[in-house]
Amino acid sequence: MLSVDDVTFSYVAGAPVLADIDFKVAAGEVVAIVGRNGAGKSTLLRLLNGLYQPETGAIIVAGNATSDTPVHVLARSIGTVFQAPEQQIFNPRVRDEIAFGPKQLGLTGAALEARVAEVLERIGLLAEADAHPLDIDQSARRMVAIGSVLAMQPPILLLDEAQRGLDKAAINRLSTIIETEKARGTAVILVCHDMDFVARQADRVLGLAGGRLAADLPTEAFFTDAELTASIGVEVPDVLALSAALGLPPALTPAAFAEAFMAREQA
Amino acid sequence: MASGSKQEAGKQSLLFTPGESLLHKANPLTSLVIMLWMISAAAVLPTAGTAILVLAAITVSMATGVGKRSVKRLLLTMTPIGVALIVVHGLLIERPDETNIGFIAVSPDGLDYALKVFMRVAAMLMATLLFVTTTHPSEMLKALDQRGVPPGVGYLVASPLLLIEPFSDRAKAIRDAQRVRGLDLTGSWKARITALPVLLMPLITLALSDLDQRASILSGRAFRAYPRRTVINAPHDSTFQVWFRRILLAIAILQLGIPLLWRF
Repeated sequence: MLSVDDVTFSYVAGAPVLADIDFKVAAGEVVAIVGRNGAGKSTLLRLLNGLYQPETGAIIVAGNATSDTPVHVLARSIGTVFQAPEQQIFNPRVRDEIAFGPKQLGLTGAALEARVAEVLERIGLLAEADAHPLDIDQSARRMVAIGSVLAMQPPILLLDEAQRGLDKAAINRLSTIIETEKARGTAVILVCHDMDFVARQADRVLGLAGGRLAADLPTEAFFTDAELTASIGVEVPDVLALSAALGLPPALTPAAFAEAFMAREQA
Repeated sequence: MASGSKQEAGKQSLLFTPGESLLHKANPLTSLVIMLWMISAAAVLPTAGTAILVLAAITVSMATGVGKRSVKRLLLTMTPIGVALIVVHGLLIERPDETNIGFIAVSPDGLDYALKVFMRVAAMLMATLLFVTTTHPSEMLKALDQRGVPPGVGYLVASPLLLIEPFSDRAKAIRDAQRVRGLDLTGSWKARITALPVLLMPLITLALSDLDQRASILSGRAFRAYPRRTVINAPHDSTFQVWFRRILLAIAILQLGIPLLWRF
């Protein structure tokens, strides 16, 4: 679905901010990109959606090389939710904002309306469909941004700190959206600082440090390697730290923790 | 590959270009007075004089390391103005001295006038470019504070320049956000014009909401609590520069004033 082959990128010639980046993401896989501020996460994201071009190497998105494909064409295959939803909102109604992306892809009429209705339902904003996007709360506004990309039904979804600024209910809704997308075969890539969220959602973690790919591991293997997480500069999820403190097997979700805890209690 | 670092990319959006030239090191008020003097000179000099002024300003900009950006901006701005001046004054406005070149009636006086206006505008623009490319707005703000200018006035003067960078960054972010939603900005002119509201609406909405937020933040930090502010790291100034400014300012006023008196 997505292939990043030996990519290097520099803002200034001779000083690469990303070097030797090499990974693949399969359909239906949820991959988190983690690392310190300035590690190159957002730059990598902009390389994936074609806004930046690699200095060396190649990025293939659903069969298209980003170097040969215009950004607006790549948008059919890769949807991006940026950190600041306000920066994309321009329509007077939530439903129009959701409809913008599919319209760009040529969807019209009843098919467009059905797509918008489905997305409004998924993001929990059916009741606010006719509200101005800037009149709803920040959490709902962010859901509009997420919904506007979901409506394009891209086979690859990039979420840049999408959970930030969401209230608890919206985070749960986002989790459901990610799970549904995964079940539909969408490749989901999260750029995220919230390690609890990463632990709950991701199948695999890519750790960036100093512009290089320092880790590409299944989520549990990544978080249980204390030396590795420390070198990449990420915290261990609370639930994992708790399970370690209680001498339980590693648990990445509260449900897994509860199961391990109860199993020990019953033993 | 993108060129320049993120920081440099940000600075490119702002007109200021870092450097070590005399103009960069000069007190911002000195640079401001030089600009004012050049503008006043451009207003009164004959065409040949303004042409020399433009050339001199370009030479100085080259020497200070801001030449490429300044000249690029000068050409981008002046080319359409030049074309419009030639068409309007050389071809469209009827004058007694019109001569026919083929089927087009051209007025040499009109062209002379167009050249005069063109050179004046170019000299004024070059003076402004020289100032904004070598003086950072925040330094200008400090220099105004240092001279006891009320903070509100200083902010009013410098804030438009200070806002260029974040405004430009935001415009780029909005453009990127819409492109990844399938907006085609590489197509026909019609498509690009249609895309304008998509790009401008969030920019204007956010700018307006920012105004209120900025005002609240400034008030919350007691921005106007005292009529004068103390500057910790004020830009370097010297007696020489103070006198240089006074003399140049006097010349600028005389340059403008004497021709006016002469006319009456």
